[in-house]
Amino acid sequence: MIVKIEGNHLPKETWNRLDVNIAEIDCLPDFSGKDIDVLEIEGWTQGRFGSKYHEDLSPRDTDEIRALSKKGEIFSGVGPEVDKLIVANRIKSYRFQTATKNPKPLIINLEYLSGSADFTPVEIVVEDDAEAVVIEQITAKKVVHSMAGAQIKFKIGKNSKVTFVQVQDIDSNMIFINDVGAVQQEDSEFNVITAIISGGTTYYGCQSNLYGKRAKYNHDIGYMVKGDEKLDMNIVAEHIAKKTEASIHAEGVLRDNAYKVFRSTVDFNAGCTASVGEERENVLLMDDTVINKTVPLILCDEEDVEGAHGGTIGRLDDETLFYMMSRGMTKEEVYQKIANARLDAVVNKIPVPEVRDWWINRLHPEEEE
Amino acid sequence: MKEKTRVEDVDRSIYDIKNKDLDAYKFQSGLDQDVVLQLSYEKNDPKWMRSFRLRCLEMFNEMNMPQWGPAIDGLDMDNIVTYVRPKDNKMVADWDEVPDEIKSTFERLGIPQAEREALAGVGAQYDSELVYHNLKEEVKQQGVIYSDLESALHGEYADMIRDHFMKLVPPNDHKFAALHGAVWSGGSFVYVPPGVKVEIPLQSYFRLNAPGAGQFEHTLIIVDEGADLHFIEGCSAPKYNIANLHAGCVELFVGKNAKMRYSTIENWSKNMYNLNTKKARVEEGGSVEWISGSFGSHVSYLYPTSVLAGRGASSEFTGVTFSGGGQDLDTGCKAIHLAPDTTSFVNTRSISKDGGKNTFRSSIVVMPEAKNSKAAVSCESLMLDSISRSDTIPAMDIRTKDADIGHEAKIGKISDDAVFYLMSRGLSEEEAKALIVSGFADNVSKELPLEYAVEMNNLIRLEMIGSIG
Repeated sequence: MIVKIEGNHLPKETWNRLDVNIAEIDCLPDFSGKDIDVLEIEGWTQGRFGSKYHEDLSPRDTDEIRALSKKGEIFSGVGPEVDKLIVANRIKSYRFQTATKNPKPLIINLEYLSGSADFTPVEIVVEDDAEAVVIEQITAKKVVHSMAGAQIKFKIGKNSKVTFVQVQDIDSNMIFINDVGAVQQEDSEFNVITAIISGGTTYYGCQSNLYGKRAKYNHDIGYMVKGDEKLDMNIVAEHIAKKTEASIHAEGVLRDNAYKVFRSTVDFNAGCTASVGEERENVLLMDDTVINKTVPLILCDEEDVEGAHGGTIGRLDDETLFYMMSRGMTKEEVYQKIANARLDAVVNKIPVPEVRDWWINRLHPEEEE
Repeated sequence: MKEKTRVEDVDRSIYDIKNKDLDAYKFQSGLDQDVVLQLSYEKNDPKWMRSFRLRCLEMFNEMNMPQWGPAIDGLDMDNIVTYVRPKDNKMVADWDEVPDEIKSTFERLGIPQAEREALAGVGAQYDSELVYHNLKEEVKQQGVIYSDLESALHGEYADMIRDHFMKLVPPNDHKFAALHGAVWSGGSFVYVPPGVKVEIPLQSYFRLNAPGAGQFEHTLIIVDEGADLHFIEGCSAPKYNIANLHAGCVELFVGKNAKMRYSTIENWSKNMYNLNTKKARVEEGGSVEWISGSFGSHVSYLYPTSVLAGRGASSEFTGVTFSGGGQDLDTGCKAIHLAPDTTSFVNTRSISKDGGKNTFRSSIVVMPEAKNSKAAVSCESLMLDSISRSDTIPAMDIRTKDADIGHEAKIGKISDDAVFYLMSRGLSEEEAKALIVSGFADNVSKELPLEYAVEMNNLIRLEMIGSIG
C-alpha cells in the first residue's frame, strides 16, 4: 500500500497548473530505522533519542513554519511530513555533538540494499565556538523496490562553523528522501556541498534558519539527472536576524528523460536588516525529452536588504561550443565534458582529500586506468 | 536627522470625483441564473451567446477560488451588482451628445482631448455600457473596424466574433474567466485588415462610477496578416467603502507578421478587486508588446499572457507596478512557446511603500516543439520602507534542449552608492533619491505615447521632504 505525503513545499505558492507548489511523494507506509555504523570519533559524543522529539513538528502550513522558524525551531527542506513519518514509525534518532575546534570529520555512510525501507534521522549539535566537518555518503547499487530516507538536522552554535558534504549515488530504481535542516546562531557558518551523482527518484530539501546575527549559509549543489530519474529539490534560506548572508548556487545537467524541479527561496523576514541573499542556478539540457522546472523565489518583508537571483537554462552558449570544437572535440564530447565539469566542480570542494579523491575516481574510473 | 525620500502616493483627486448614481437601470446584487438570463435579454443576445452565458455560470459555481494569490475574502458576489446602465444610455459618436455629467467625467480625465490630439478612435465605457464610440474617417477608409462588441455580434462580423470569442481565454481557464463569460457587458471589437498599419493608437477607457458594481467588458482585437496596431486601455473609478469588481477580458489575435502593441494604465480605486484576464495568440512572424502600468486597485490579479503559436513569433512585456498602503497587487506575465524560433522578453519594475504588497509572478513555458527559443525575464523591486512587502515568484518550465533561457531579479532599497555618486555630482540627497526613483519606472513611461507618459509620471509624483537636525 502506498501512502502519499506532501513535501518540498514552495514557501509562497504559484499557479497550480505549473505543478511546482508541492511534491507528492509516493511513500511506503512502514519504515525501519537504519542503523549507522559509527565508530568512536575523536571530538564527538553520540547518543540516541526517541521519535517523540519529532512530534512537536507535525505538519503545518508554510506561514506557521515561518513563524516558528523565527522562534528558533528547525524545519527541514522537505518539510514536517518527514517528521510525521519518523514519529509514525517510532524511529529513533542519532545525535552527534561536538564542542571542539577540530574534531575528526564525522562520516555517515548510508548504503542501501534491495528491498530497503529504511529511514535514518540524525541530529548534529555543534556547540559554540566549535568547528566540524560532516560527510554523508549515500550509496545503493543494483537495488530493486527500495525506498529510503535520511534527515539530518543541525544546531549550529555561536561563532561555530560547519562544513556539510553530501554525496549521493543511488540506483535508478530507488526512491530517496534526502532531508536537511539547520538553525544557526550568531556568527555561525553553515557551508553545504551537495553532489547528486545519480538518484533514482530523489526528493531533496534543505532549509537553514539564519536565527543569529551575522550567520552565513552557503550552499553549492551539483547534480546530474539522467535516464528516467527524477530530482525534486527545495532549498530555503530563512533570514531572521540582522546581517545574515545566504548564497545558493546550483549547477546541473539533465539528459535522456530526466525530470527536475528546483525550488530555491531567499526569505527576508521583517527585522533582518542589512542581510544579503542570492541564488543562482545554471542548468544544461542535453536532450529534448527532459523536463526542467525552476522556481527561484525572493520573498521580502524588510526594506534594508539585498536580494538577487539569476540563472540560465538550456544549451551551451555558442562561443564556448565554438571554442571547444575548434580544439578538436565533437559537439557531443564538448557537452559531455561540460556536464562532467559541473559535477566535478562541486565534488572538488569536498574538504577531506581521501573522500574527495574517492568520489573523483568513482566519477571518472577511466582516468584511473 | 537623515531624511528619507517620500514618494507621494498616486494622486487620485481627479479620479475620485463621484457622480450621483442616477442610473436608469440596475440589477439587484448577486449572481444567479435569473440575473444572467435577464442580462442576456437586455443585450438581445443571439441564442448561442445566451447558452454560453449559462454554461459559464455553471462553471463559475463549480470552480474554486484561487488559493495561491492575495486574499479576496472581501469580495462577496452577493453584494456585487453585475449590471448598471447609466441614465439616458445611448452610444454616440459625438461627445456633445453624451449626457453632461458623464461627458464632464471623461473631460476631466482628458479623454476627448486625447482623442482630438493623438488618437485614431476612442471607446468610452461608463459602468456597464459604452457611451461613446468613434473612429476617425481616414482610419475607417483603411478598412479598420472599431465598434462596440455587442453591435458587432449582430452585424457582418458576427461569425468572426463567434469564432473568436472566449476561445483564447476559455471560461474554464479560472473562476473569474467563467464569471466574465456569464455576465460580460460592453467592450470593443477591433479588426485590422491585412497589411494595414494604423498610424496612431486606438483607445478604450473604462470608468466604473457605481458603488458596489462590477465591470466586465470584453475587448476582442484581430490584427490580420501584416497589419500593425497600437491599442491603449485606461481605467479608473472613484473610491468607495464597499468593494467593486473588475473582471474584464482582453483577447488579441495577432496574425502572421502582424504587430500588436497593447498599453494599459490601470488606475482603479483602492476598493477595487481587479481580476482581469488578458491573452494574446501570435502567429508566425508576429509580435505582441504589452506595456503595463498598474497603480490602482485594492487587490489585483493581472498576468497578460502570450501564446507564441507560430514560428518566429515574439512577445515583449514591460511593466511597472506601484503598491501603496492598503494594496496587494499580484501582477506579472506568462509566455508559452509552442513553435520554433520564438522569443519572449520580460522587463518589470515594482515599487512598494506605506505597507503596500507587491508580488511579481511569471511563467515561461517552452514546449518540445519550440526549438531555438529564447526567453529572458528581468524583475527589479524597490522597497521604500520596512512596512511594505515585495515578492518575486518566477517559474520556468523548459522541455527542449535547444533553448536559451535567462532570468534575473533584484530586490532592495535605493542604492547608497548611487545616491553617493549623484551627490558627488552636486545633487542633494533628496534630489538624488528622487531622480533614482523617477528613473526606476522609466522602462514603461518611455514606451508610451507622450501624453500617456505624462499621465503616468503625474501618477508617480515625487516629493522631497527636508528636515534639519
